[in-house]
Amino acid sequence: MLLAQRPTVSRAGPRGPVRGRKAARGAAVAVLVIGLVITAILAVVTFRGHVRTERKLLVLQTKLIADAGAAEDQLYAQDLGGAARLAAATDGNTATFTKNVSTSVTAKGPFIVESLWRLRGSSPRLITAAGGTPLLAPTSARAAAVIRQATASKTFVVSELATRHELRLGLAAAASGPDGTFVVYAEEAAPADRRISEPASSPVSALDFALYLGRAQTSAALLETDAPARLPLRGTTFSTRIRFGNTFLTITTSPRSSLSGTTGVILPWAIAIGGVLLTILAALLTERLTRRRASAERLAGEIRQLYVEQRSVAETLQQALLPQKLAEIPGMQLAARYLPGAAGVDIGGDWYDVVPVDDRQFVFIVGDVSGRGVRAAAVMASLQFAGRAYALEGHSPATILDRLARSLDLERDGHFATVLCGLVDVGAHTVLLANAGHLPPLVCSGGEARLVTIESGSPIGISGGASRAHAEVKTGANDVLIAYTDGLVERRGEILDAGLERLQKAASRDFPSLDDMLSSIVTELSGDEPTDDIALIGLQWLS
Amino acid sequence: MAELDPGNQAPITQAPITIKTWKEGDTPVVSLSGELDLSNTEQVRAQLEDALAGGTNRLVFEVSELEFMDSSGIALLASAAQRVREVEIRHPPAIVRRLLELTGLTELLRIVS
Repeated sequence: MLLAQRPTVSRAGPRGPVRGRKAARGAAVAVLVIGLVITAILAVVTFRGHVRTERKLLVLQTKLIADAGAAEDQLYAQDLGGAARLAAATDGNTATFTKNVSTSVTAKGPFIVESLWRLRGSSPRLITAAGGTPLLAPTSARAAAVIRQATASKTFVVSELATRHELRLGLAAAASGPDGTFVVYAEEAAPADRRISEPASSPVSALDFALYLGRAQTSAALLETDAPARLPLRGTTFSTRIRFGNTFLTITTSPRSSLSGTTGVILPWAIAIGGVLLTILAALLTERLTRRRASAERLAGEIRQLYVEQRSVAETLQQALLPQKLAEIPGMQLAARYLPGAAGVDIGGDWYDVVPVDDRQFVFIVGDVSGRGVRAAAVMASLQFAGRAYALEGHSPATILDRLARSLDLERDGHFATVLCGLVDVGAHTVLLANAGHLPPLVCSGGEARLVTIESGSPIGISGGASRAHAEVKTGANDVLIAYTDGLVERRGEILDAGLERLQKAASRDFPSLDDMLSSIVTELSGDEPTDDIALIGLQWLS
Repeated sequence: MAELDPGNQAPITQAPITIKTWKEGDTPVVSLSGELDLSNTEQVRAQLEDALAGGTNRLVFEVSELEFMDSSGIALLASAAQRVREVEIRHPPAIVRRLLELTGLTELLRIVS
């Protein structure tokens, strides 16, 4: 019967690990997804920050170049304009002109040739030229156009002269004097193939740049570039325009490598790679932890199940040891209660018994074996059976207790027992009581309950001390005698008398029946969860 | 699952107790303060064995600060009384003294208030 009641533990077995593994995988995937998303966001944010920084630096450096370009424009305007004004003031004195432009026409530039023209009527005439002959033919329509254009412009005018071999920029500025209008015309050579190489020390050496005349960024308009690759520049580029005489220069730049250093380039990658690695690690860890937790939970479940099982086995054992049905005593109403305590899985050693001796008399015994567990229950069983045998032999309560005392030894058995034993004479309305360290019984008469104070001898199993004397109690019709174990009245941290008083109070009422009385007392005193086992028995005289 | 809550099934926690032992002349004194119940009697028993190791006719339990004792505690005291001629329970609080009285041990143990 005990085995039949075993709850099955294996139910959690095969399903548990599978569910655990699934949960673990789910958690790992969640961590993986979250981690990758965070990594991606961080990497993108870092990368965009880097791009913004790069762009800012590019704009800054390009503007530096533009500033230099603007300074050159000023310089050319002064140089050419100054020479023209000097010529106008000196009536086109060639010696003065040649001397004046000697600093501009050098091997290092800026001009390879600088010439002085006089405009008479509508046709220009070349007066003199320093540094060689200008590519602009003096008698050409082109020359006439350039010189006229210069006279009409407030600043120098820019024109392009291309041959098969070279490209020259023609720069012309005019000034009018008392003797007519003079135009200074200089030519500047674009570098071969338009390519130059900036020295490494240059502040713009980190940039590729392309300089165009005018607004169009076409190869025809290209003046110079330091880009090794084909134009137009690719990647991150920035363009700005600089005023140059009567036209513009367009400068386009692109960084050769990271302008803000390598950290900015590496960082997004480092974040991406590190983040992915960390995420994978976290996912693996999560998977393992989740799996471990699942298995721990499964184990805890099994342990709980085993507790319940063990407890249920123990309770079944205890219930089996107690009388399934109290003996029927004519003229008496008997009732009993047994409540297992919640204190652990170990069963207690509480018991009660009723043994009819003859037609008029019966013996009742209520006892409590110290400690808990199956051993305590075994001691309880042996005391119960021995007590029953001594009662049947017709011994007095004190003798029954003394004899029981011989069968138990605290030192040997590790347990002692408190036992209350009473011989009831139904007709005589007397109870002969003997007590071995047990709590005093309660006698309820006419809605009043009182504790029967009797001299207590030593508990069963403890030798020496007081002997077990008899005390006689007289009862009336409908009186109730209640014997119980300490679980009913004992509360932790409270003196026993308080519990006894509580019991007395709970029993001091009129009850419709003995069953009602016991139920009411148990409910009132035990609370929802009695920690210790409770056994009690009630004997009521029917007349 | 509420009925499976192990918290209600198995109190594994040990009740708080402080055990001190010393000697008054040849008499071992075991001082117990706190709570003495099934969960810690083994611990007390071990210390008691040490105190009794030399062999003695007299043993003192100083229990003035013992706040709670159950039947396991009684078993411990009674067990000592089975082995030592005189066991003195010194300064028991009412809660302990009353328990000893009701358990019929006042003649076995010498109660000193």
